[in-house]
Amino acid sequence: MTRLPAVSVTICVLLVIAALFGWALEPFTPDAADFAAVLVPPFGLEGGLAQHLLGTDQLGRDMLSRLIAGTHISLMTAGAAVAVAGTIGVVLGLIGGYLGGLVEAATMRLTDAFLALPFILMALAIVAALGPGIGNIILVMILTNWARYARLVRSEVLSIKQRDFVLLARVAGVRPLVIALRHVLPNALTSILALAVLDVGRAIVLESSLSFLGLGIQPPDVSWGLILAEGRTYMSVAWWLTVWPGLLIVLAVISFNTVGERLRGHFDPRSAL
Amino acid sequence: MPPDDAASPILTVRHLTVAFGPAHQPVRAVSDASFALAAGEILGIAGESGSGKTTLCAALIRTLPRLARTAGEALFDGRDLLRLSEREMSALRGSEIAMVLQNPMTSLDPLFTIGNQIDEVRRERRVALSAVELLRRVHLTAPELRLRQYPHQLSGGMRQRVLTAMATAAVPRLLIADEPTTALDASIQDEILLLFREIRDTAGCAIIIVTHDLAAIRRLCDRVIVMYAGRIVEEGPTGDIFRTPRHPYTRALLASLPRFTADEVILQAIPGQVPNLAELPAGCAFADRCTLVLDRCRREQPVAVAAGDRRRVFCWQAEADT
Amino acid sequence: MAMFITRRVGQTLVTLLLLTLMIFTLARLTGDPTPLVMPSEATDADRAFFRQEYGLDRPLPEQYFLFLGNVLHGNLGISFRFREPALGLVLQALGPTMQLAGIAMVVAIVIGMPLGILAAVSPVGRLAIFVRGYASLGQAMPSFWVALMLIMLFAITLRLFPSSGYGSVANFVLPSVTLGFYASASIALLTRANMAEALRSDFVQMERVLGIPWRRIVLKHALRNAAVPIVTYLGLQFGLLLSGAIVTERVFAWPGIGQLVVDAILNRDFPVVQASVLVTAVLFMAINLAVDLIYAVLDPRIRT
Repeated sequence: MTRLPAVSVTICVLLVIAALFGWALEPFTPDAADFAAVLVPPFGLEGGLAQHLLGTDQLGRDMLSRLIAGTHISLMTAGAAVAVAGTIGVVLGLIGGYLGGLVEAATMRLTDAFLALPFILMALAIVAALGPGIGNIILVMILTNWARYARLVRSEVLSIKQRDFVLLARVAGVRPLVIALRHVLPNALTSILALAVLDVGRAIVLESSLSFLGLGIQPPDVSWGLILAEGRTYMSVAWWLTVWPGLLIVLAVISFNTVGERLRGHFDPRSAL
Repeated sequence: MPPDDAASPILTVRHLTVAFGPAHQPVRAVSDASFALAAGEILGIAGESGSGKTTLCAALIRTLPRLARTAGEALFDGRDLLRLSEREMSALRGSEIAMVLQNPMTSLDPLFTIGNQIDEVRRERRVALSAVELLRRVHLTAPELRLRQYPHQLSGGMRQRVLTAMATAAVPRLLIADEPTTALDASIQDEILLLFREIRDTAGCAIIIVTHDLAAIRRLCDRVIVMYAGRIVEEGPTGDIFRTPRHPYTRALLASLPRFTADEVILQAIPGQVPNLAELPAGCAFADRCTLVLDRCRREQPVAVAAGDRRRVFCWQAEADT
Repeated sequence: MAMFITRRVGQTLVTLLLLTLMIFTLARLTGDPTPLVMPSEATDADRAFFRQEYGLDRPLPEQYFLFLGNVLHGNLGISFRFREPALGLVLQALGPTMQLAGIAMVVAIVIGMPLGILAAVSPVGRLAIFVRGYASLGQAMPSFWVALMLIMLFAITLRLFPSSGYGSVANFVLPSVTLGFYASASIALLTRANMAEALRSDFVQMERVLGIPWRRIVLKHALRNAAVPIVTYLGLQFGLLLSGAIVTERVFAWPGIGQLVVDAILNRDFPVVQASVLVTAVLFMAINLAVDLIYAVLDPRIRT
């Protein structure tokens, strides 16, 4: 296994922990308004308060708590989307690649069609049809992402299908499903994993973009993109409303991207830096 | 025509060593190689893969990677090739010293026509002959057509001729050819070898042919150098070496050429393996595989032993015999 | 060559067909538009008439073919909100978006390609590390955040450029840099990778040995060979820019398709959404097709 970059992995792990258990660490309830402490700057600056380390927003809600709550939703959404998209894509890729013929052609046309469309456009179309909200956002991300897994798995299947040990297995009467699971999948695992990790980064960006536009996560749920959108109006007087959530997004995406790139570099050395 | 011995050599290599990797455990691709090449002479460098022959050539024309450490000297026209600046070297390449690399299939830019690439060399080296004439010199059929074609439309043999034409366009004094026939069909190999001889005969160009194909060396070369694990082990006129090889490795190499009798093909491999270039023994590198090995061989590096008319062999056994 | 063109065009048409199917399905999923369009005092008879007019009472497959027919005639519906043909609105908004994407593309190439080439030619050292870091950052920062940060710095604090609007040259600067930044990172990475590979190829070594000057080798031979996949990517990138423009346009109040689409969604004006998605997707696919054809022109191995 490759040596993974320690810093990035640590950050990813910390984020996941925060997403899962952060609610225990939130100093305040994320949507508790406190009109006595509106637009308080971060601790350390003039006017800052110790109990509001990262400041408060226009309704007096504590930024740190909101960011932690946002971590939960943003990461869970991204994770769910990637997991389901990956599963669907892998299954379809296996089926299409292994069965070949008409099934494969049809699957590939479908995959190509989905890949040919820019994902934000599709996301917008789907949101327009089905409305915003966390469930639909996950659905959108699944629909825009599954195709890449299908294509990856299919090419792996094709390359392995030709190999001698597969031919031997078939001649020996081993069922196709077993061949697929025992031989194809393990070989493709690293690349699927690399793709998935990189996908988490993409999903985070997609979700925050949609939430920023008001088409994603809806209040009272909290997401990084939503915090950014809400803080935008007060940008000129309260920079911390937009800088913290943005930095978190960048940090998360860079960390996941670095880990994913390292995994990908392991199986396809040419694309590594 | 074989060259006149009395003429001073065009290239004199002394104690050339090329090493890679960490200083405490270097990989010595070439160790202490010394030889001289007369003007108009065809020299063959024979050896298996990993014997250091390609590295030796890369060192001469200075295309080794930056990490390589070179020692020794290579005098061409009184100038040490190893000490020249990149700019001075660049001026020599393609004009006085030329080289044809391995893999004719991938040595031409796939996106430009043959004519475009030949003209590029012609412009750079101010060659008066036209592209068509250059292609005719290497006996490429339908040269006008070839100029308009792309590399992928030509066969391996044709591409090799084109590359040779480009390398010899400016009439170099020294031409180095690395495995010129390896990637080609057997029927074409002979033609390419004859082409090289013709180049020497008409232009007086000295040629170094690097190959593991002993038959080719026998056909073409005036002298041959045999390399093993980065060192020269034997050197001399081709005919003499093939008739009476003195070094055990040379003997084994010649014995391993497939022999065809009426009933069967006899293949005789040399038992053992080439040593790891990062862990070369203090003594002769061939000691483990040598049938005539002496105690001294394992302890001391053999030195040159004169073995007849313009012959040298690096072997303690050979010294004992004289 | 003809075979190649036919095949590619065929593929594009199939994808387009699937696209229309998807749009149609989504449109029907939004439910019966009648209550949205008809005023509340409309009678049942009025509603029935409306349904008949728009073919909403026919079986679904028939509706699909009607829809397809309409699309081919350029009839993409009437905007619920503006009561104008949706296609017209979209085409009007296309102008500013294309301009923005175009300038952003230029910015991205001007920054990205030289960085990539330099990083490939001298792979060790500060430059390579810088390019790697730049590329990492560029790919991780969501465009709307870059936009906001740029606005905070250049529009609010330094007051150098306007934070929104459309019309003057100054208006172009911040939006195109925002859009171009992300693209320049990808372009730099791709250029570096392809150039590095080209510089390792046998013919580059051969050209060195022939005495051809290094600069010419890099810029004429290596770049040309590396360019083929890069050009393909540029086409793809333009399409991505078009969609990335959507978010950027919102932040800068740029009167392009992005604004149009998001407004339409928030106002449940589906014909406009439908028209925007269709037009942009068609544009995207046309660009990809054109790029594939250019690929064939640039690389003679494909067409001979």
